[in-house]
Amino acid sequence: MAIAIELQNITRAYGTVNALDNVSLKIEAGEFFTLLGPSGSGKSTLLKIIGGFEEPTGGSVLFNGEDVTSLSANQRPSNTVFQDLALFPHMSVGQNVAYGLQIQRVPKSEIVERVIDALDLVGLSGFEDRNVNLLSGGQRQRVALARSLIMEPGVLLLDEPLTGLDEQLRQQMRDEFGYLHEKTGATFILVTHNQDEALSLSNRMAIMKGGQLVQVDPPTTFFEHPKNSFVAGFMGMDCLIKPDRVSMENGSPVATVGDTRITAVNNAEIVPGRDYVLAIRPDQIRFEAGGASGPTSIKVTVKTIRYRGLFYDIHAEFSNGEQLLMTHPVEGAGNLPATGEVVNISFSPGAPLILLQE
Amino acid sequence: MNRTVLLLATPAIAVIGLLCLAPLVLVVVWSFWTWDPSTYWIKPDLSFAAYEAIFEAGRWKVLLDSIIKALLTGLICLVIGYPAAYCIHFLAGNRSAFLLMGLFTIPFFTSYLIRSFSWRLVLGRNGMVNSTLMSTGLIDEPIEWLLFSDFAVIVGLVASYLPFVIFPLLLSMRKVEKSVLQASLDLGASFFQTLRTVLLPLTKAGCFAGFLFVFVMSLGSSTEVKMLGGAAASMISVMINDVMRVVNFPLAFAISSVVILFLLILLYVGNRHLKLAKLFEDFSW
Repeated sequence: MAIAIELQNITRAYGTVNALDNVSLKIEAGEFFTLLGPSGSGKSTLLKIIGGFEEPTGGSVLFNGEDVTSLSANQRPSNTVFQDLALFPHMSVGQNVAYGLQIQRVPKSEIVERVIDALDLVGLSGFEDRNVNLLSGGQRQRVALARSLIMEPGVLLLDEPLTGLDEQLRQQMRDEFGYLHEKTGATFILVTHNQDEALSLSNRMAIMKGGQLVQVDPPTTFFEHPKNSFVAGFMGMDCLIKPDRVSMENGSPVATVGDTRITAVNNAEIVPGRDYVLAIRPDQIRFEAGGASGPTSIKVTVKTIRYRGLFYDIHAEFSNGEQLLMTHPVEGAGNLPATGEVVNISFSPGAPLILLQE
Repeated sequence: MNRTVLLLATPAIAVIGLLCLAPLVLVVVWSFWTWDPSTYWIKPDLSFAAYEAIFEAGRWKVLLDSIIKALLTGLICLVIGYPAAYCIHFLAGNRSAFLLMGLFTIPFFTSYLIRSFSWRLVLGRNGMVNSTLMSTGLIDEPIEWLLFSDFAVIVGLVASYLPFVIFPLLLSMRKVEKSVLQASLDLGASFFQTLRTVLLPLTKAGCFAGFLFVFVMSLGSSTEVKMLGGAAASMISVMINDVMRVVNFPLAFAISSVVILFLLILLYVGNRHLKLAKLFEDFSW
């Protein structure tokens, strides 16, 4: 695959603070790439540097192998859907969408045709003369998309475009992004702090923290092999257990939590002197029949049980006070342990992971 | 409107009525009265004599001249003030924006008489401009039309009223999201295309408000004209002053009424096309 965008050692400093710290990244043509991270991680700054709205203090930006670092936004073959959409409030829907083509002096008849096509693509046929200020959030979103897509950009940059929409609309627009990505074949780069969006849309994604890329991989890898506890936490592995110590036994890391020994999947090389955590998703933990005298040696005390509709949330505790969260299906409500009961648990294959504490 | 709110607003409404509307009404009413030579005072009447007098003794020409001068001043202030406001709002940081605003305001700490007079030292026969040009050999004789001319009056007016165009422009620019300008660049527009197709249309209410401030104040100015315009120069306020000196109050009121009517029409037409009310509108959508 051809490389659409290459970032080489991008650094962006604000005063003494590095918003971006030596970021290097290659994004393939036609890829749906997501930059994921908490606020302040530098993901939006990175997108602005790709779009040409901010200049890096160091490093280069390459589009299709060409250095565009010194080119401003209006000279780059990328288009942006802004976080606040940035529709032109003094123009109608049609005028907004036609704007880029008018700047390019495309013949008027062609503009009219392409505006119709673009609005059709985003499901807003016949909205040409509407006032953009009177549209709903979702409709404004679509106008912004159409305004960018009509330029037939090689690269579409999406800067947290779904913030501010309600949950139902978010999901709808998320599906729309996937559809438009397939339909246009353009390279999409999405910035978001929502891991659901990232997982469901991306071919590959990057998790950022403190201006650096922590991990760049396809979504499934983030679940199977998160690089450290930060990534695992961000991917929704809420259950991070701090072992008292970790040792290697027969090639597998064994974590000691209170009086319980847990054999973990080898996901990281165990280096003495560093801190590790066990990462387990709530759905990877099962009760074993037989209560405290069950078949495994892992025992926890049930602390609280909460009904969540599709399942129960059960908080349990190891003997040293480390917390554990697991889920229990509603159908098995009859087998629910009582609060305060000591139960025997087991983990699904591939769990738990042992990760570097970040 | 809620009755309590109305009650609370009554003093304010009364003050506005008393200080703004009452004098206006009196000016218009008195302009139809006639001057009584026996008492040296005006007496109630319904006479159009004062209005007819406007068309005598070249008075209408002074009116027209004044309007043209004020119009030019307003436009020049816009041309200078727009980049200044752009710079303060979009380019300067908080501290430097404050500093720049201060620089525009500090001249107002001195009396307007002194400010106007100081232009004589700049534009006069032996003023800074002429002496600089002569010493560099660009001209052999001092340029005469620099002072005591319409040029000097407009320079003085522009210098006096420039800040009044910057404040409304800043107000309207604050309502333009930076991302909207970025979006225009993103779609391929150059800086000047963005200025013409996005920023100017979005700030036209501010342009009109700023222009109106300068226009109205220039139209009512007298100091600059007296100081810099030379003996023959006239302006509406100077003319009214002259008329008052011979105690022809109805004529003075008639001229004022005509000016007020003209400004009201300007305001109405401008507002219809440029939506001045938008300046006071929040982004509620």
